[in-house]
Amino acid sequence: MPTVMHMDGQEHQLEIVARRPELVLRVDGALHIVRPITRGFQLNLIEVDGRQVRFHAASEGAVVHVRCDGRSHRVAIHDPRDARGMVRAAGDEIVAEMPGTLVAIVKAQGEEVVAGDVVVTIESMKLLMNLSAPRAGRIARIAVELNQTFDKGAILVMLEPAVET
Amino acid sequence: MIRPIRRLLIANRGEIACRIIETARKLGIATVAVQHRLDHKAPHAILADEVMEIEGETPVGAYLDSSQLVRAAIQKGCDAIHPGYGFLSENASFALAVREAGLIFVGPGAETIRLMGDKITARDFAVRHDVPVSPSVMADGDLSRFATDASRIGFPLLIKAAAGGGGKGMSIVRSLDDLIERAALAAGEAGRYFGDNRIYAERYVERPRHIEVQIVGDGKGNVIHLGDRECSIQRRFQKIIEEAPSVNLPDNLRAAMIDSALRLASAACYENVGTVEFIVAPDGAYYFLEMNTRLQVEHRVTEMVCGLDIVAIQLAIASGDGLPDQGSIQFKGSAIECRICAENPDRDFMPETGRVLGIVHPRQPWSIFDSGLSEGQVIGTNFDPMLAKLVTHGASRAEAVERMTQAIRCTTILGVVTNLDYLGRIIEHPGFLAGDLHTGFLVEHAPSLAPHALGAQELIDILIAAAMSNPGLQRLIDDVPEPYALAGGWRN
Repeated sequence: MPTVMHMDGQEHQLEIVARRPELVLRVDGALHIVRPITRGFQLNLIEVDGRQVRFHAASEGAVVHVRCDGRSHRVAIHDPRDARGMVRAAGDEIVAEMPGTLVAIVKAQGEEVVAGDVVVTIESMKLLMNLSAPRAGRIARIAVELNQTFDKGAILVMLEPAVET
Repeated sequence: MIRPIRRLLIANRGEIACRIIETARKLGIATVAVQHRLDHKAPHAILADEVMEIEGETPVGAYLDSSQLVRAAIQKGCDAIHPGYGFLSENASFALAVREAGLIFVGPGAETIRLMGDKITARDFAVRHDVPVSPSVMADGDLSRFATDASRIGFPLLIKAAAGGGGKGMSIVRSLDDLIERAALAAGEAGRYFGDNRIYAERYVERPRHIEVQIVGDGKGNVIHLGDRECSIQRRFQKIIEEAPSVNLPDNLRAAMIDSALRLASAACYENVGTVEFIVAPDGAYYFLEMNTRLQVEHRVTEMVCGLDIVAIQLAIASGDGLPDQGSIQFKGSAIECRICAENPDRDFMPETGRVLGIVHPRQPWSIFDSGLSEGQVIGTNFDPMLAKLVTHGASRAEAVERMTQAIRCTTILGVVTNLDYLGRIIEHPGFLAGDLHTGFLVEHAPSLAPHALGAQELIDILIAAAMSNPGLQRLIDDVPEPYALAGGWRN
C-alpha cells in the first residue's frame, strides 16, 4: 500500500519499489532513482534521477518541513497502515489558529470558491484578518455564527470533500 | 554631567534585547535581562549576565508592567534601563518613573515622548517649526461634521488614530459614504487598541514613499543626522523591507528633508536617538508623518552605511557624553533589511504559530542575522510575529540586493511558516530592482509576487526530500530487510 502524502491541499502517493541495488521510489505513478548523499540538518543532499537536490528539512509528527530552492513547504506524510479515509484530506477546512470573533462572512454556504478566495473575516488579537480558502471547492458549512467567539483550533469553515479520482 | 552606566536592565525581549546586550558587553556594561516564564531560556535571557523573572496576567502584560521593571532594575543594582523598541519604549510615564527612581532612561525625556507620541500635538509642533505637514482634520466626536470637514480636503483621505501606530486604526477612503462608515470603524478600533478613540483624516498621497531621517540629539538643542532610510515596502501599513540610503532620492530633496528633521529635533531639544518620518509624494512634496522617540527596528541599515553602533551612541548620550561629530560621519554603500515574520503572505499575512525546529543563516562579513530565536522555541501569538531581521550591505544598491537574494537563499527557519520566500520574491522583483518603490508596492504587484506554481520536477524533488526526511519512511528505506517490509504492508 503506498504512503499518502499531502502538500498544498493535493494528495500524492509514494511507494518504495526497490532498495537494492538502488533505491527506487514510485511517486504518483512514475519511478525515480534516489541516491542519498549527505544527511544532516545543515545540508541534505540527494540525487533524484541523477540530478542533485539540496534541501533543509525537519520532521515534526506527521509533518515534514522542507526548504528547497528558496521555497518552504509543508508535507504531511500519513502512516500507510492507517485505514484510508481515516485521515481527512488536508485543506478541507479553515481552522482558527487563535481565538477570536467572526466579524464577516464573505462566501456563504453553497458558494464556489477558488484557492485564496476570502471566505470569512475574523477579529483576533484586535486585528481584522481575512481567512481564505485553502483550495478550490464549494463551502459546505460556516461553522461559527456571525459575531460569535471561538477558541483556538475551532473549525470555522468546512469545504465539501474534494471529488475522489 | 557624566553618569557612567555600569549595569543596564533591558526592558525588552527577542532580537532587540539580544542586540542591546551585544553592544553593552562590548562596552563593558553588565546586563540584566527580564523574562516572562514563556521566554524561559530564551536567547536574550541566556545572553545576559543576569536574568530577572517578571510576571503578568498576559506575557505581554509582564513586559508592559513599568513598576515591576523599575523594581527589578533597583533590586539588581542597575543604574539604567534600555527600553528597546515596542513595549514601553515610547511610554512617557515609564520614562518618568525610571528617572524618578533615580535611574537613567536610555531615550528622550518624558515631555518629548509625550509631545511626539500624540500625532496631533506632534503635527502642531511640526507646523510651528515650518516642517511641512499634509492638510488634515481632527474628529471631535461628531462624526458627521468630521466627514463634512474632511471631505473639503478632497479625496482620497487617510483616516488615522491620534494615539496610533503600527497601522492599526488606519484606512484609506475615497468617497463620502465610505468616510462615515470607516471613521466609525477606525474610532472603534482606535478605542479598543489604544484606549483613545480620537481619529483624524489627512490628505492621502497616492503612491507615497515612506522615507525617514535618523537623528541624534544631546538634549541641549544640538542635533546631528545619520542619513535617511527608505521604508516604502510595507504590508498592512507595517514595514517589512527597509534600506539606506533611500533609492533614487534627488540630492536637494534629501537635503531638505534632513534639514526639516534636524530643525524639528533641535526645536524639541531632543535627547538620544530618534527618527523623523516623512511621506514623499511622487511630485517631490514631502510631509511630516511622525517622530519615533526610540531605537528603530531598522537601525541596522543605518549602522551598516555609516559604520556606527547606534546602541553605543544611545548609551553614550544617556550617560552624558556629547554627540559624534557630523563631519566625521561618512556614508558608504547601501544596506537592506528584511523582517522575517511568522506569517503566511499567501493567506493574507495570517500570523503563524509552531515550534522552531531548525535555524540556518548566513555568516558573511556583509550580513547580519538578528534574532531572538532558538531551536525548540514555541512561536505563539503572544508576542509580535517578527522573528528575525536579515541585513546585507554592498558597495552599491545592486550589490546589497544581490547579496540579500543570496542571504535569503541561505536562510532557513523550519517549523513555522514565515514570509521568507515572499521577501525573496520582493527582492527579486523587477520593480524593486528598479527602485520604483511606494507604500502600495506589495498590493500593486500582488499577482507577480504570488508564488509560481511548482513544476512537475520541483514537486517530485520536494516530495522525495520530504519522504527521505520522515523518520518512519527513513527507517523503512534504510533498515528494514526486504521480507520484513513486505510483511509491514508496504507493497501491494
